[in-house]
Amino acid sequence: MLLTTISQCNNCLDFSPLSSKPDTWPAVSIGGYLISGFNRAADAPVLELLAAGGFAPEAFAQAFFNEHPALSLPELARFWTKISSLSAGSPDIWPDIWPETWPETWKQVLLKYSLRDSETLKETLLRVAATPRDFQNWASFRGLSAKDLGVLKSLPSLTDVDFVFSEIVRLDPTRSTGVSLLELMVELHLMGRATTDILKVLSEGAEAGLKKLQSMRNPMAAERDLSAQAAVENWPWPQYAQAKWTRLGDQSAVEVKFHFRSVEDFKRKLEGLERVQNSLQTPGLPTPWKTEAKLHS
Amino acid sequence: MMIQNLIEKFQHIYIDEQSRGSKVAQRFVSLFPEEKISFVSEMPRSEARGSLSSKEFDRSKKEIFITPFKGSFFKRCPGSKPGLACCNYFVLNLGLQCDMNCSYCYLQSFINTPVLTIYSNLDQALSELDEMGLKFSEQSMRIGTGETIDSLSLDELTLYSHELISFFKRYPNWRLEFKTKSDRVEQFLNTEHAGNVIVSWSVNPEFIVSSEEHSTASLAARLDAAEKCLARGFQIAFHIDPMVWHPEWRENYLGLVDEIVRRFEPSQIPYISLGALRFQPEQRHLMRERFGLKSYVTQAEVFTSPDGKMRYDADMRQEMFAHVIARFKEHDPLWKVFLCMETPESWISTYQAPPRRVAGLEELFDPKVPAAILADEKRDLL
Repeated sequence: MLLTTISQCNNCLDFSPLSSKPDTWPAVSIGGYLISGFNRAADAPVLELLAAGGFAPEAFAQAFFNEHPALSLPELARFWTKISSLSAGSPDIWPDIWPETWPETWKQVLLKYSLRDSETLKETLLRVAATPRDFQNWASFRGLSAKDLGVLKSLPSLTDVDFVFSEIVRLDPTRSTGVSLLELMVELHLMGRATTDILKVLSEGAEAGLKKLQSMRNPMAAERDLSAQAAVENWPWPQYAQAKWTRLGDQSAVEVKFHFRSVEDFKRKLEGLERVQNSLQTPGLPTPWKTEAKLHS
Repeated sequence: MMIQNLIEKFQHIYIDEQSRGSKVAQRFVSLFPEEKISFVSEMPRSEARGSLSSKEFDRSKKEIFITPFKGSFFKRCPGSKPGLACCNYFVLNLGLQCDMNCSYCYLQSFINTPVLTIYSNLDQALSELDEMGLKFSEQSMRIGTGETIDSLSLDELTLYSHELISFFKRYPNWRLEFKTKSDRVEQFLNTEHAGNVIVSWSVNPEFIVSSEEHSTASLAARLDAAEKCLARGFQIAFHIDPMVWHPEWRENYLGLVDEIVRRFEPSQIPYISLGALRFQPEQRHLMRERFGLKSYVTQAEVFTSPDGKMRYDADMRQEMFAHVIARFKEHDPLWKVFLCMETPESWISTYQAPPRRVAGLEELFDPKVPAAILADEKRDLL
């Protein structure tokens, strides 16, 4: 180990990490490649880790992990593209410092973050790194995984969906809502829905917008559920019962809610509900099931 | 001529050194040009193991790896999971991956090998069956080969059909089922059989064949092949599966039923199974990347079902099944149609009865799977 300064480092692997160690810790470089302390002054101290005779993949991975123990996927994506850009513009040629061992080193780095090297991951990282920085920061803050962001791989071009990223940043949804919004917006875009239609439903906020996007994505089911709800509302429910048409995955049904305070009360309320059941035999009374038949006829 | 298409279709054949002496490897060596053959000591492209990218998945359909299967060949159909009504079907996997390219293919949810694999140790598979035969030769069992690889699309290369058909002559109470979307049957039509071989086709209206079942035989070619098999005394069956919703689904599926009915009699077809589009949720990513969002499969309105798979709305499925069943029954009540990989609830809403109580299907769903086989399976799982 050798103590040098930032200005003595030949290359900087600055991938804009969101957090860094306190300035009282020296920055770290490996073979002249700075891996931390990117924003420090030129004369700031740097610990050079490259020992004579090379640097083992596991040691690099450990050193990198020590410097960045909690890296989000977008940060990792930026690191990956930074390394790739150093390879003379070709992702197949690795930096001259570790031409032979880089694939193994990369594998070891990923293992530190509980990830496994694969083409799928590399493709996702390239896509994530190409998204706007404020979207990346949202994804980092919400802890999105490679799987959560995998939908980006189905886009022929990211530039057409800038509105997707900006809307997510604007709405700042939770992870789960954000992942669903991202997937739905990308799918609707790929299905040819107009951007204005998508943006319109998002004006009411993330959760309400998500529901509307789901309806837009599944229009037949949405129409059927809407008709069914209208039919159910028209049944002669007693005042104490609240009834609604509910979707439970691939099935839907009537949900009835009421409270009872004693066995007698329970009995009385069930009798009231029985009257609803009887009225359902009335010819001409709309039911969700009849609505279904109409919808598809 | 047809075999020449296959030889041209594959870019490279890798033969595991352990399979060098196998019949199937020797046949590939005799058929393919020398420059397309390599002998290897491990799986090629093994760096690509794990979940495959769309490019890797596409490439895996163009290269073949011949290797021995290490493990037990004989398994129960995935439909035998709790919560699904199962038709007592056993699977014998003789390979992994398919040279055809259906947008909905369930192999997209679990294939993690970078090449199309053909197992070279068919003799071991047959030994396993012989072991079963020691105890259960008198039992009625259906054994299919088309779960993880199409039974016949590569059969002109492997000629596995010959050995299997001959083998099943020793077990007349068992039924061997080939399941295919190809029309490649000529190679086994002259093979002597015991009348217990069912050649079955997964069929869909031509509209769906051409839009979703890429590189498969046309509907007409599949039905022509079925007629040829029937003429040679093979039993035939059809799987209208997966039914895919599209705006003209009603007319198109009626057309399909009518075409089957025009060509065949109910007495000639022991069963027709129905199933609707279903897939594992994680499969949607690969489907979307590989087929875009212009496909009726990737565009489908699907929801999570109790078994975790994505399916159409249950009422819609029931309507689709009832539509097809009604048409068959209009033609002749003797058509035997059953639901594949469906819940008992779907059965009841479609047939007003569970499968074992539906006329004509009792035998298919009779819980006659030898208890000992199930016990063996449980032991394996432990």
